[in-house]
Amino acid sequence: MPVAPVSRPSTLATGPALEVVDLSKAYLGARPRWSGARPVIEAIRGVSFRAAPGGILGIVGETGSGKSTLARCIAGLTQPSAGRVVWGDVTLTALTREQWRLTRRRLQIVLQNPYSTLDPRMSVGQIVAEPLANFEIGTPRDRLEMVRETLATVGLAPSLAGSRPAALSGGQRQRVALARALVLRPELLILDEPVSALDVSVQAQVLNLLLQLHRALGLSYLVIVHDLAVARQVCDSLVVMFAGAVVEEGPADAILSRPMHPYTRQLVAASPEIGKDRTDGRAAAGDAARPPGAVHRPIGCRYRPRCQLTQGEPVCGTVDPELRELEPGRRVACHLSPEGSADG
Amino acid sequence: MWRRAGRFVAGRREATAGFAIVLVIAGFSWVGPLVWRVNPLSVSLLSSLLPPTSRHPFGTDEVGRDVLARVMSAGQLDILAALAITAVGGVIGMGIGLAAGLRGGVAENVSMRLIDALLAFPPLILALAISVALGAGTTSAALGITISTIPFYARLMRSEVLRVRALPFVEAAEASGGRPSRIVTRHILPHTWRVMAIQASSVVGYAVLTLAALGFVGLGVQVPTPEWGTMITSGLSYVLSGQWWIGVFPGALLLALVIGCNLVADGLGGDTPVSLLTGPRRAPTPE
Repeated sequence: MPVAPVSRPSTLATGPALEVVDLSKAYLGARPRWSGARPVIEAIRGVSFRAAPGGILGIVGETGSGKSTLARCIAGLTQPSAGRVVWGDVTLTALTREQWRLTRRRLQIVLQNPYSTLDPRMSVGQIVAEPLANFEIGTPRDRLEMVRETLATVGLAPSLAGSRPAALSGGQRQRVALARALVLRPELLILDEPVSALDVSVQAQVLNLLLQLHRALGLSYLVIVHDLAVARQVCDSLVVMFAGAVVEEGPADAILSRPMHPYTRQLVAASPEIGKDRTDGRAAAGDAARPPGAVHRPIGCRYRPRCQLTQGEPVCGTVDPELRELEPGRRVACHLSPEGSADG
Repeated sequence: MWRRAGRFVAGRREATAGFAIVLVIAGFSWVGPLVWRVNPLSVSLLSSLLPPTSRHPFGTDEVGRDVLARVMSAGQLDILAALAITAVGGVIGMGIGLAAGLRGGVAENVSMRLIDALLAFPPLILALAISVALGAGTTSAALGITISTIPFYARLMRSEVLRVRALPFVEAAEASGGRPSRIVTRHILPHTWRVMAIQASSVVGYAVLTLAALGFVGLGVQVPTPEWGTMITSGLSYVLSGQWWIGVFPGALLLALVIGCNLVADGLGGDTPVSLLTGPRRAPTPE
């Protein structure tokens, strides 16, 4: 019997917790011109964290820190080279292709940039109905109704169902992409930079919509963001990534008000805020704005080349710091934080 | 509906003109015989080599057959054969290109190297060689031409599939739980049609021309069946003695049809990058 997911009452019975264990992804670089093996580029290395059910977990970090690779590995669009992702009683990283396909009914991802992720030949209605067709949910007539309902949920006029993506604005396209993910009523929604392609005025609307939907539908979000202002607005916990590894993890308020890792401090300092003195942020971000090469990583702490805390302590140059729980719920990968306690 | 048709035409003048030319020639070939009821095969030595008159608008050939009737009957054969060649070669070539583009790995390498081997010969020479090997005749000529068109489709299809497959909405379709077969038919193939249609319309012109070329050298359609290429050959020997009409009329129709097909191909290209439009090299026209 076909199940109509839209009619499922939103009891806020959220899905299972997501656990990422020691996840790594390495790519082979281009073959060197003259000789030698292809270099190994580590996009992410040894990433572990846990996302509580029903929460909004933000993954923040600068460009090239491996956020999107992480999201793609969790969503099964990229095969990780090591580690595993466990979602409730399912080990996502061990699924076959068809098992993954069936899991996508409960786990959806909204890819970056709504300008290229919608098939230009299809109408909005067809795009949003496609996941339903993929899982053979409902009759074509039911699907039409579900599509209208979902379009309304994301704040689009159902009359837009006949339009092509080319006729829509950026914000509308992102809503269509969101509707396509939500029409299946997933339990976990991964959002890769949901607003970075949009105008600032539209960003706020889409973020508010995301928050509303989170409350109304009772699902879990995993949000990839590079903008701390966005993270502040939507996330309840944060994972801060630098050069492919987690450097700090914990509740969003605590991290943003009292960052512990020197990288997080710089990020927070660089993020503009009304009433804040601009100069200190600029100065902090300005120092070595280049991430360390993913190919030739420094031995020891990967953040050392940019670190403002280190005074040349030998431990920073030799040992890659592990995440330590410095306060309940807060883990930091730094030998020196909080200042002075260099107990690697 | 007429408004939409009008806008469609306005945006594609070149293609529409080409299509109109093809339609006119097809109409001439199929409707013409209903009006001009003369047997293209009936020989009458008494009325051989007559110049165009009202009794024989296109004149008669060396054994007194009516050139107009023969040109029309030849048109049917040439157009049908060209369409069949285009369709069969297209299905096979696109199938190979699609498989190569989707599979990758060894299958792609092997099939593409075989295609390279076919491409190493100029298409006309390849078609010529295959039809020589199979023996003169309409079928073997058509088969030879069909095989020579496969590489055009296969190469283009493979590169199109590789291009479309990498587009983000294909990944989005996978993320929405699409089965691989559905992703191919709903998201990849529809984005290749335009380029493949351009390719196919230029192949129609190439097929007509090559069929005529093979007929011209005596390999394709055999006498007495009328075919433009063979008619041009037989007309050739009379041009110097003044009986120009035997070869000129089929030659003019052949020229018009090929120009029509190429106009369609170029016109459909429109805003498509030039690099996507490089069709088969046009075979030399029989002198």
